[in-house]
Amino acid sequence: MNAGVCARGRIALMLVLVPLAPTPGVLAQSARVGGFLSLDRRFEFGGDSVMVADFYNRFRPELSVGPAEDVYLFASLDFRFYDFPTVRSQSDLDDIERHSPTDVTLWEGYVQLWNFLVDGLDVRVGKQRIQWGTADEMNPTDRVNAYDFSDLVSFTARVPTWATLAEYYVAGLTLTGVWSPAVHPPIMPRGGGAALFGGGPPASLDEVAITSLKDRFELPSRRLSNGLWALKIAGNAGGADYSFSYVSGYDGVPFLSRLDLLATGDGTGADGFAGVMTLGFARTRSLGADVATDIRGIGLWGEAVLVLPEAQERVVTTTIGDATTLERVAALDGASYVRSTVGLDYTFSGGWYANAQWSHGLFFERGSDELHDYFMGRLERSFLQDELKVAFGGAMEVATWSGISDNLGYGVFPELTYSPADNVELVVGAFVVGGRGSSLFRAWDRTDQVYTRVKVSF
Amino acid sequence: MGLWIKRAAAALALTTPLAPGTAQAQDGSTLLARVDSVLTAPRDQSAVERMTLIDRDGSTKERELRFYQKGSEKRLVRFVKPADVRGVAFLRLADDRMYLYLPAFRRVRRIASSIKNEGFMGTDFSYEDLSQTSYSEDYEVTAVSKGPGSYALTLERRDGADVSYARLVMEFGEADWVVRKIDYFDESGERIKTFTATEVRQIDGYAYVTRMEMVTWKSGHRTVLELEELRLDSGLSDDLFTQRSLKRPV
Repeated sequence: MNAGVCARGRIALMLVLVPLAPTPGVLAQSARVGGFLSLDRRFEFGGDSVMVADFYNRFRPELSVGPAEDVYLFASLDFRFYDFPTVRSQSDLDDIERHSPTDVTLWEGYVQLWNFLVDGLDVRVGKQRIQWGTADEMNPTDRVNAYDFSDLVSFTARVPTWATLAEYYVAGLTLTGVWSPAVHPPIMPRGGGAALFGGGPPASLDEVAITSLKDRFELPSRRLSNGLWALKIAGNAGGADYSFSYVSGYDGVPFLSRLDLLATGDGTGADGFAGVMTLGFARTRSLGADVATDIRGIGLWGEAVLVLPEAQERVVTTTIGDATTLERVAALDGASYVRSTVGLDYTFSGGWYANAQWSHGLFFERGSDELHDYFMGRLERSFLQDELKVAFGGAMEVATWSGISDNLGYGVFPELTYSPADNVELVVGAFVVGGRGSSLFRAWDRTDQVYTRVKVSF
Repeated sequence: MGLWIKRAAAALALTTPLAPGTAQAQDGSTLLARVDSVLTAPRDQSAVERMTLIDRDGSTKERELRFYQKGSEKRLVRFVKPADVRGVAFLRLADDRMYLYLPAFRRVRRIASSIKNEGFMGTDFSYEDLSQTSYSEDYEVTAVSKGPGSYALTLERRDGADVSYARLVMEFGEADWVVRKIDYFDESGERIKTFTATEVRQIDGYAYVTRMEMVTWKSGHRTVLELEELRLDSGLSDDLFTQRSLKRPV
């Protein structure tokens, strides 16, 4: 590279960075520490006996610094620690990690710059949670943030992801651009939950005796073109907030891209096969639209996304003795489909808050024939100046409308929250799901649980 | 916050020119119009306010918030304390467009205006209390009485008015037009709440309520709101009252 160009580059970089460089004194004055400690107990009763789940407790320290008027840094750590030791032998007893298992990750860590280079342009770089969609929690247009299924009780939660976010505010509109360099798979429940992927062997192999099955992920390479790109334009018209969006990225739930079967035992296949699944991620594009408004005190919202997936094939190899056969079949047909959500909420005099939503398609479901319908409702009421909150949640799932009675799912989610003092929250609730046939909630029915939580913020 | 509080906070927003005229000869509607006019007398207001929530048994909780108002329709409230609500922000725009920012989710949510009858974040002030900037629009004066240095008006809800109280009894100072007390009644005639301005000071040429109290009679719960910092007519930008601004950390 030409030295002059290099020097100009360095000067340009300094011009950008120097105004942002704070003195240590300024940093110290504006730094703030906060966060919370959350202690959970989960009592699962979906099996033959009540089990205490190996669920995480969470300590989340947060640090924020505002060294200059238009600069903000934020970082939070997620310490998850578990109640049950994982020692398996005497030699594990000197391993504190097995004695008291923990997981630690940087939950968020970003720099926010307001009015970056030009007025109205805000840029945020780093690991962050990006708002996408205006519906209440169920956001089908949000194909930017990965799912967080580590706590099924909060099954609409999302995980912060590494990204660069730019928002430009001009003429009453907000133009948003996002780039994320990598695919972020969902976080699954500890000690299981992989089955929730639906990533088992295909139904066409039901008659094959598979004696063991392993899986491995094949993440897209780190080419620039394999990143996630998203654009959005949002505004308000006639009192209604709306946005239109485009996302080019990957389906966050993997598909079975390869299956290798190796005859075991006598090598003829009579004793069955050992299988290795390779799970890949399908490139998709999507067009989304959403709207939220208020009509006579009733909150209304709707979101829809047209998903345009790329067709994907699956390779199946079968090795019997020295002979290997290879078969290519369609894994994903590439047909477009629409997922949507419509909802409303209202607060009645007397303080009861009601919320109802219908969602066509959730989470792992893809393809027009695979989308289930979910009807969800919630009723809440606060007492004693918000010290006590009672909530009743419920859900009904229709996996298919033909033969509906054999393909229904249900969920019941009561919760009681008591705040005896500022920053202290005591929660007791239940998560009860079940269903028949092909319903998603049927697959979750072993996760039925009563939970308690103590959360203290600081 | 006192400033943004409409109704009860009329007191907060209850500002008035230094040289008020006599009110004696005026009828009820004119009096109420004058009270309304002082509610939004400053072009804009920004304040730091402390809220104390007091149970019937005397136990207390503290809230600290920053309040911004421009004109009669734009209001922004940011919670500073306690820690579990730090950064939560509420934005109200014209036509009852309301937004809530939840920092834990980095999310701005449109909220339905039906919430306005409910208590605001556990206080005795409802969203409606904190938003009332014109009593004349929603109520008509049905009785006027004159006391030593003050007036009392009885206000009845107008047909079709989108407010939750059936009747108010309002007292204000004859000299400064600042609302000193409001009793709120429901349809059955039961007194629900009482607002009292317990301290009024002259600030930048306005008579301003710097300490107020709201009592909910059924529960015996009280909320005391004290002004800690105040800036009037500082030229707040419209950009402050946007979803973009809502997301800025406290």
